[in-house]
Amino acid sequence: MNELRFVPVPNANTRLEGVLSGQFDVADALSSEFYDRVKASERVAPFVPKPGGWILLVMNTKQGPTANLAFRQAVQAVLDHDSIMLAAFGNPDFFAIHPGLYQAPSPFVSDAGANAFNRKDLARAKQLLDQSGYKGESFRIITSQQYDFVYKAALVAAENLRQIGIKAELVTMDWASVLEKRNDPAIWEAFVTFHGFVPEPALFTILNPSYAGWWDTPAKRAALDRFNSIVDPAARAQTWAEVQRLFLEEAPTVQLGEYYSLVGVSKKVQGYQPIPLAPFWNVSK
Amino acid sequence: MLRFVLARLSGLVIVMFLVATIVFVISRVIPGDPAAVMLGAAATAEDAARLKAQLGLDAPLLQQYIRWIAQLLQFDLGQSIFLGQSVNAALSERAELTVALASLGLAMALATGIPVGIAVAVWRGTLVDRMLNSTALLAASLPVFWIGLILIRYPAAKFGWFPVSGYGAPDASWREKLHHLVLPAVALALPNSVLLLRTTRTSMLDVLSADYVRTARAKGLSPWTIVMKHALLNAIVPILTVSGVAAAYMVGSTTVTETVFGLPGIGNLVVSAVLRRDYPVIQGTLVVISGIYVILNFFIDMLYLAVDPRIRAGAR
Repeated sequence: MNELRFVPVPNANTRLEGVLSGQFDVADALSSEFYDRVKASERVAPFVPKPGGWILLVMNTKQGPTANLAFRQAVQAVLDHDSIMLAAFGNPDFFAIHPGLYQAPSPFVSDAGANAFNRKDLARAKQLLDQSGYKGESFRIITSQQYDFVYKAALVAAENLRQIGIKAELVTMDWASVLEKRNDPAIWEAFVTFHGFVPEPALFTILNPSYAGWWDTPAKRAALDRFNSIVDPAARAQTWAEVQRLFLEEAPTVQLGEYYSLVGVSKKVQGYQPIPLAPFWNVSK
Repeated sequence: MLRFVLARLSGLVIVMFLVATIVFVISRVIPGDPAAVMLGAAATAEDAARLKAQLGLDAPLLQQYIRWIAQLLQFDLGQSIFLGQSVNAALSERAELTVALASLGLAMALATGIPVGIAVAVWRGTLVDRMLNSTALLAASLPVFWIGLILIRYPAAKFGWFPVSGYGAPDASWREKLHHLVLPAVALALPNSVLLLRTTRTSMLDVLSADYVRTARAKGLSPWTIVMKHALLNAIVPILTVSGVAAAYMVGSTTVTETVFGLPGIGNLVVSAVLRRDYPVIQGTLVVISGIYVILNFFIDMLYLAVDPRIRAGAR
């Protein structure tokens, strides 16, 4: 290859038609809805790079009903991850649901805290809600239609919460507004976001107490300090399990699932690697 | 006459000042922080505040406004927060595509809307008139983005007659660039050609029923002379007005067409700027587009003077 040309094409449908018609060799970030068309193409092959990022329901631990641990655990207990991710991505090939952030072969794979994950237990959720002393306050989820999978996830999550009597309401705005509004703890109880894959768990933004959601408890600080002070890889993996257990027990954020995107690659291209942020080293045509 | 022209020009300056103020206020009032957008979803409020200070976005609004007006008086539209270049340079890079697209779209709209409008006025009440009117109504109801997607799906992707998107390689010839602009121009032209068709038809019908046209027929003049020389010239003023509106609309409405067809023009630039809250680009682009509207209207006003002696007499 003598030249690699990266062409910004904002519209996903135009990217799809471009790669199917042969104008482009690779089209990134295609919608999962296009999977069948890409599979059926004689010219283009579909790739689903893994691992992917995470869809998160971040809760406000600073004030409001979500500052209460039992309330957050109630939210976690009632959420139906399968329905949420299916609504957001439409095709089970484009998401995976697992309690830990990581899957094999990552050294950080762990089932710690798994019994709190994806329970879909209405009875348990109602019990926790009563325990929290919830008085019927609004549960405001700020979201954006700019990323349709975020919006759809928020829609289904809101319905799950209404099943146990939480007054969930969606506050919809564009993404730039979400990024600003989430810094004000007085105006939201949750927001849905996406987090890019990070191979190193210390880079997981939710662990930062300054990040919206503001998860900061003595147990979390202690576990994180231990994790960050260890150099030995095997020991780090074990200590990470403790942080993950706390993440699931204290439920500052609910990790709804891991998501993948669709890449269409011309069958003439050789050497493409289906990994996140794919490098184009050693590709040929 | 000179007083007429000067009055129009002074109005132009006042309008531009108001536009500059309104776009500044609107871009600051809408929620959203460019620093947070720049840093991404994983940034904290402290990170965003630090970047905001570096970019000078934490200065008092009045100070930012005075700086904006002072720059504008020197024809400096400011520095893009995201692109790392001046707004003037960003617009210059993209102007060729948007002007070419708008011009081609306008040419298509004028070339189809006006002749067909004349034809249906002359053939009023016939099957041709009814069919073309119905087709025009249908075409006017279709959203531009949908027209664009259909054009991409069939003439481009399925039949391969045109490229799906883009403006060609950096070293593309003008023919290749024009080839890339045909489908977007069709999408842009269609609703405007319908507007021109209906305006031309209505205006021609008014004129064709006038006494002097009846006199011209009685004198034995050819239908071509009656329609094209006597009727059309008298019907031209509203057609000119709508043509001016269509031309200005073309420039402003390239946003949707450029987004659908992946064209790196001014429309695409302003959409990205709004989503990212790139204030200088939002302000600069809206001022430029408003300026184009205002100048086009001024030009149309001058054209009225040229084509209609009644308006010329009133201006003296």
